[in-house]
Amino acid sequence: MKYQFLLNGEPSTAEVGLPQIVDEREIVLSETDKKQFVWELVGEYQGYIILEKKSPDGTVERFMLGIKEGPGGVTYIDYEGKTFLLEESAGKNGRKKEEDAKPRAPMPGKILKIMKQRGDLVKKGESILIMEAMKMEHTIRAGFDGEIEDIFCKVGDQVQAGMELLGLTKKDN
Amino acid sequence: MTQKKAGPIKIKRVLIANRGEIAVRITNTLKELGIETVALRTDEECGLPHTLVANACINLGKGTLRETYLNKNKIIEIAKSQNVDAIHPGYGLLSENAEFAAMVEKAGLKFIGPRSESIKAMGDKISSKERCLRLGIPLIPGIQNPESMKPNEVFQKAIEMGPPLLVKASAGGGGKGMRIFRPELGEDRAVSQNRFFEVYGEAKREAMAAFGDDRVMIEKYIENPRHIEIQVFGDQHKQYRHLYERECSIQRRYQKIVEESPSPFMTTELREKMTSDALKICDDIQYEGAGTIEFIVSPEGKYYFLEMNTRLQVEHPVTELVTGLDLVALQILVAEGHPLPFKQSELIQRGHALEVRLCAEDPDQNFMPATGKILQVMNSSLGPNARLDTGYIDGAEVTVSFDSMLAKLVVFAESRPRAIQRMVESLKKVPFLGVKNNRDYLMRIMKTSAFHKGETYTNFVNINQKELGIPEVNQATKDLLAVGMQFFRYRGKSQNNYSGKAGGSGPTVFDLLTGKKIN
Repeated sequence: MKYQFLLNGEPSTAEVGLPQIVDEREIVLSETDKKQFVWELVGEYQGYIILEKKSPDGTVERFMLGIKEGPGGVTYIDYEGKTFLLEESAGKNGRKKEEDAKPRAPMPGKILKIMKQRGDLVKKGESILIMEAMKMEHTIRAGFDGEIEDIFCKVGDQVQAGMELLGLTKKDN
Repeated sequence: MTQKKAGPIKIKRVLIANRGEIAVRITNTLKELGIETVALRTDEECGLPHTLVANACINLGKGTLRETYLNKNKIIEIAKSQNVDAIHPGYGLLSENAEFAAMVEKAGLKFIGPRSESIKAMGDKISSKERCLRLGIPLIPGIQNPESMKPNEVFQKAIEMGPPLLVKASAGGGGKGMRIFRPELGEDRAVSQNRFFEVYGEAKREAMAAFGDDRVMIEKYIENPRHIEIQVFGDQHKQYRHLYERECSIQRRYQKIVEESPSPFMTTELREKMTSDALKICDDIQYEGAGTIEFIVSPEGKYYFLEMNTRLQVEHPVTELVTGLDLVALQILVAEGHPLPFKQSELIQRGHALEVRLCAEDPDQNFMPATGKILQVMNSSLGPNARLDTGYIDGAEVTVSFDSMLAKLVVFAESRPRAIQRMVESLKKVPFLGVKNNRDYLMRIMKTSAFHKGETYTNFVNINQKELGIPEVNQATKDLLAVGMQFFRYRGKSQNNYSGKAGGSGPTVFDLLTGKKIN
């Protein structure tokens, strides 16, 4: 089946099946470029699973994965020193890019300065607001060209992570 | 200067006025020395390692840092009520607060660090530079007190010094309240001046937010500089020793992330000059305890005094590994009034030590700090000559209340190339799964050709931006992760009954599987 997921926020797919027991072994099948691979779960080590991948030409290779589920539907996978963030999108095709680009507070913090006013037109990348979080200043920039239709905070406000700070509507200018 | 003539004292019980990894690290040595420790915590830190390893732990309650770890009166009260002989301030927090050191002295307790006068003498970047000027130690040209001048004069003088310019907070360090100004080619003077004061304003606001003091100074900014510092130690008997250098050039957001000793840039001649200047400062202020003299070194090998940190540094393990000394044990020794037990000629720097700072942040989103629950710190024990200093355990929450540093990973090897290899393998063992962190990024740094060649400048992260970007994930890796997810989600559940109907277009593995026997 086509397995759809977001990998580090990027929509990705893989052709994989569900685990099944074949000859008393726990396996999953995958397919890439019309080639079929057989994956076997061969063991566990310190909370990590060890998979063995068998290629059509008979070569085998082992992989060690650490998988932990975090809050908010995010699964953290550690492989060879790299951490991947995987979200199962289940056909949703992920979030809309534009929704992602809205000016939101990346961290809880305090609003230090608002450079724009209601009705201002801004270009993608333009600074619109400065906030302070973890004793550092962070500049919030426009994620796309648009018009500032509303401002939901004022200087000195404490804001929560993820809060939309300004109402920015897409507009070519 | 008051030098105690009464013989050595014996420290039996110490309050550690700090938290996290450094509190754990200090406790470990104190235990070895048979000294009891009293730890501090806030409401939200219940169950963190630093609170568990101590002989006692006192709750500071909840509130801002000012009401908890920076609450001088409360901490002195606790010290008195817990019958300690001394307070170890760690780094950051109250470690370089001369007022606090004086309060500790006044309460009849030993401040494990320099005398309050030394903190005062070196803590202010302006007065410390005046001292260095007098001692003939090279300084970067700058405007120490722009507040006393008219804006026009400030800008005129700044331009004369030759940009780029650095605007930075007079109080404190850690890169907070620092901004670089570069005039653009052919830029109108008025525009340039406006932009300069914008940068100046940002630095002032950040200085105010971080230190409650918005004084800033302006300096000529050295292009492609290295940050090399000398670890020093002084005792109450006017003996001063250096413990060689650490190079901490690689930084992001002006905060160090990679540190090493020896510096790949260092020569015997340069080391001789820098260490002797560092000891000159110690001698001049009759410095007691552990300290660090920071220098900026230009690619031509010119060095300039930057500042002195009158405390144990975050990166002190690097020095411990190349010298074989325990810096916290030495701090206790000199705090008790004993003389430093070695001559300069007896101190050696051998092999190579490398440290990285694992931080809860997203390196691919401008190093934005991250928060969350740590699900798994390590996946196997570290091999020989690798050390993880951390204040976190599985299940601990990383919140916005404290610094984003999760751990320091430090390795030692016979050579720099071997140390790099050891670091890469060791990084694989400390995923800190559950919180976005910079481990992958640190690994990318370790793999750049610039790092291998020792081309370590403070702007390393910007110069090597391309090589440090997120590498593309290939389909084979995506398949692996997807397969891993299937085992993670569904193993053990109705094992023989997955219908496996085709979801996408074209034949799936299940279609191909029908009637086939897998070997």
